[in-house]
Amino acid sequence: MPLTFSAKLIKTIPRLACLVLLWFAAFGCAQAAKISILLSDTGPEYRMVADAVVMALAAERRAGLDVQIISQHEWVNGDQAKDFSLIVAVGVSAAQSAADSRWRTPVLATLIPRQAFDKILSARTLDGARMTALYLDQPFERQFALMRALLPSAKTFGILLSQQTQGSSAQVRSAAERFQFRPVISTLGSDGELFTQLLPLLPQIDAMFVVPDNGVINRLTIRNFLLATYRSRVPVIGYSQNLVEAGVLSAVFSTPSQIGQHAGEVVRQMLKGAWAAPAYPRYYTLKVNNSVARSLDINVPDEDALLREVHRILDSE
Amino acid sequence: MSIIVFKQVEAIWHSALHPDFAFFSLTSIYKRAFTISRRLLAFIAFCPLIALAETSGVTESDFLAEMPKVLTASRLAQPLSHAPAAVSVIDREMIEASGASNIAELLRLVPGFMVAERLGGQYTTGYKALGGEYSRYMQVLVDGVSIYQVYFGEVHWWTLPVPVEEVERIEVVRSPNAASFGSNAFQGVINIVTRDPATSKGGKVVLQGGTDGFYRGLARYSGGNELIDYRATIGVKRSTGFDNILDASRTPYVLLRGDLHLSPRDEVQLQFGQSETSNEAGFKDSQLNPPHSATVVDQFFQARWNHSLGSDEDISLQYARSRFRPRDEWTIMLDPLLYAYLGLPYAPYSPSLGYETGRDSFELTHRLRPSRTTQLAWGVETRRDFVDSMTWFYPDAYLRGDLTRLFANGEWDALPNLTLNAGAMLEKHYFSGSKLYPRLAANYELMPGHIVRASVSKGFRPPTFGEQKGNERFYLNSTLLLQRFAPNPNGLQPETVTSQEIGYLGEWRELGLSFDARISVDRYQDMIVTEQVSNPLALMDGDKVLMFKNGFDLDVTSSEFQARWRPNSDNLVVANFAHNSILSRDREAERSGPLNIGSLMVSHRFSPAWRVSATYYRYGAMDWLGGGSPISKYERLDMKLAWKLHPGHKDDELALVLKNALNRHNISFEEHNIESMGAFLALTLGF
Repeated sequence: MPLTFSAKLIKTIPRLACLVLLWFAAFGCAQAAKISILLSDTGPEYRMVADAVVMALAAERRAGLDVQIISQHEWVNGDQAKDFSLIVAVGVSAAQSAADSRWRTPVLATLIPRQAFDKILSARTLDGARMTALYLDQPFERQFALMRALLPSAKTFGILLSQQTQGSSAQVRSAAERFQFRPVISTLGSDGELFTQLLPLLPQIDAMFVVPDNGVINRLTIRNFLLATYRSRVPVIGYSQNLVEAGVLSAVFSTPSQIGQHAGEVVRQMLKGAWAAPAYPRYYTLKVNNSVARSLDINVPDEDALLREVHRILDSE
Repeated sequence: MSIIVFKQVEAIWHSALHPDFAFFSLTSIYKRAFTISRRLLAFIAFCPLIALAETSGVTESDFLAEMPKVLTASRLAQPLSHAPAAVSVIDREMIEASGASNIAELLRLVPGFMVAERLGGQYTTGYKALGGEYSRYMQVLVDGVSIYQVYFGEVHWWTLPVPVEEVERIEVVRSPNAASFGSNAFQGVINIVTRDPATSKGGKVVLQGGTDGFYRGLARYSGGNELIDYRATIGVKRSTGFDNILDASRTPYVLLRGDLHLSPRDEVQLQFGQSETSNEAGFKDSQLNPPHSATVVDQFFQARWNHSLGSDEDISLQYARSRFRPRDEWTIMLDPLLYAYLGLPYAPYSPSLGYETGRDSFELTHRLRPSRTTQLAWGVETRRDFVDSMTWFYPDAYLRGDLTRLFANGEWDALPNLTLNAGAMLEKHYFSGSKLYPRLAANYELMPGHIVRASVSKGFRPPTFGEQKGNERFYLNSTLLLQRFAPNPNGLQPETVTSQEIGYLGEWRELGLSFDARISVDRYQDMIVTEQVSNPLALMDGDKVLMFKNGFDLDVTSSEFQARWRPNSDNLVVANFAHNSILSRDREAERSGPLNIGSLMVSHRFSPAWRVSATYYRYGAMDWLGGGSPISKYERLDMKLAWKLHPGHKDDELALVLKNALNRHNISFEEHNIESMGAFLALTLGF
């Protein structure tokens, strides 16, 4: 027998009330809240993120927030998830485990590349309200601002994308245009032959830009990649500190502490009930390889001055 | 009584292996190389499978995990704008456009260089002045390892087991650079950088053949994985030489290199090369030195460990070794009367020419950047040189000397547009004792891309074994028949050069144009020469010997320029010119270099598959020292037409090279050796 409108309303009120109560239980009661920081591994970078989160939540902890740092190998079948109102996952594999847990605890994934987060979401068809992230990668705008600060007269840059990352070519183009760059985008076919695509690019470009893509840059290909670009005197802008030490000219990146600090602020926000959409890191720094800069005859100011210049370029956009 | 004069005779010395001596025949080298490469391939195959492309998706470890340090301090080249001297670079593009089939010919593209073919395939090079039989005044390195021989300080370009196809680039420092490179860097430094196995993978075969029985071939395979990048090259070259002398030669060689990546911070580079030349020797219609064949084995080995201490600092430790052994024996019948006089039974006589020379060295270098504006490289080297020849070094035969060096080179960006460079080397040499070789330079940037440079340096060239201790004697049993050289009882002072220069370097990047001009004044003192004197151990009246002594001084004022225009990747023009004014009381020395030397290279790609290039080279009258002849002029045009069989995909190419296309009958070095026109086809196939 079809229900009248008022009957339907009476049926849904309790459900709504339960949902509201659950919501408050999850987010509203900071006093009794317990959150977990789930580490993918025992390495120092993961601990640094955790420590920075803990430090950022000092006030909340004094007010009674319980923060537990758990290493992934202690996370047996995700049953511990039910005890927490929020899980801060540090690293891809922690994010995967937290997402796989049958308890629908909200997850804030940190120290996770955007590509990996998107993969987790799509593979698990999760309810978007349950999982969010703080990406490890920087937005293209920041990286192009760095490139513009270092190479004021550069006009073109090359970028190699593999099957994994070719979806971002439109984004690269639009971000590049804002900084008066013309990108030359080359996509690796399924045979993945890096150098047949790289070498013809080199004479046409003023700089090379690398995106996080281990189909392009990995420990096997990095040597040949850097030697080939160096030989053609093409400076490379990268995405991590390790790449700069390997021989890339410069990169903007966020340190684990900076990620942790931002994560702490997001957690505070979420504990107050405001859901945070996935975001790029708020805090970042940069590094320049001075020896490579000198060898390529590129004049580079000191890192603080360069960072101010990057801020200035971003602000004027 | 009649004393028979013949060119050189040596007491018969059998090849009892000398303790310091370890030559393998090339066949055993080939066998070793194949065994090593088979074992290496097996090892690599069993290495934990490392996927060539890890397509498992990006994780945080792609950001956080340590990457191998590729562009270490020792790999980074100093930019020309900060170099304390005039530097010319011959890169791969120029090497290919030149059509050159050996490294010495490439030096024609450096302003001020004279290059001549002394005997078939055997080149000598000179720079500005003092051109002679052997290239003795330059420090020549292959990947940082010295390859000149300590016997006379000479470079044997023809037996060097490095083919032009494996050269990535050649850096020539056109001033005395003893402060960084030691005593043989008298007029300059030539550093031959070989191709990095990491950048050229796969196999390659090159076949060349042409007029005058010229042929060359090589096969190279290069591969690698996360642990090692390696390259193995075997090849052979042949030259029939000039028409009326016996100078044909054939040289097979092997060149191996392996770069081991032990950790992200540690790399070990190993390189080994050996060539075994067989050549014609002797003279037609000569009783004493009839036509026969001779061999030369030339070997070098290098092991270098580089440890990166950060992106701006590294340490490297290197062991380098070189060995050079020519062998030359034949049998003749001497005048029976001589035997009767000496009371010896008559028997055929087998003179044997030959010697061995080599060096072993250890070197430690530390490069660092103490601050953002300063850079420092310092190091220590210890080296043992030896020679072994009963003919030349009677009575000891085996002579050895140890030298130690301490060097430091610093750069300071005193102002945003002013860089100061100071370097010095303290060397304790086995003949000259301790000497300090200093250099100072200042580079000032007038505006971006335009630099003015001033520098002053002092170099020394200590006497070599041949000069200081040469005691060339010929014995028949225990009777001294002839002495050709005697050591100077007063010893020899080192040769000295003081050099001052002002240079300008300009670059117009948008036009693809760079220009480098330089005026230098070099003062050479106490140059070592030979003089005929009465034999101190006169066997008879009027007996003369040759003796080395310090002789003339020489002032060379030269102006040079080099322009390079590369408006796009289809076109390249390189022009060089040098004008030298040589002054000396010694007439011969004054004419040891031409007044003007110039070259012009033009290369044009007129379709993706076709490229044509031409190199014109010319220098004026000069008189080669040593065994050379006066020449009135040298002029040559080489041309190359190259057809890429698969443009854009592979390096497969068929090329036609015309040598001396204008067919100028140049005296190359000695008046009987006349150059003629020649041509060859070159096929390169990659797989």
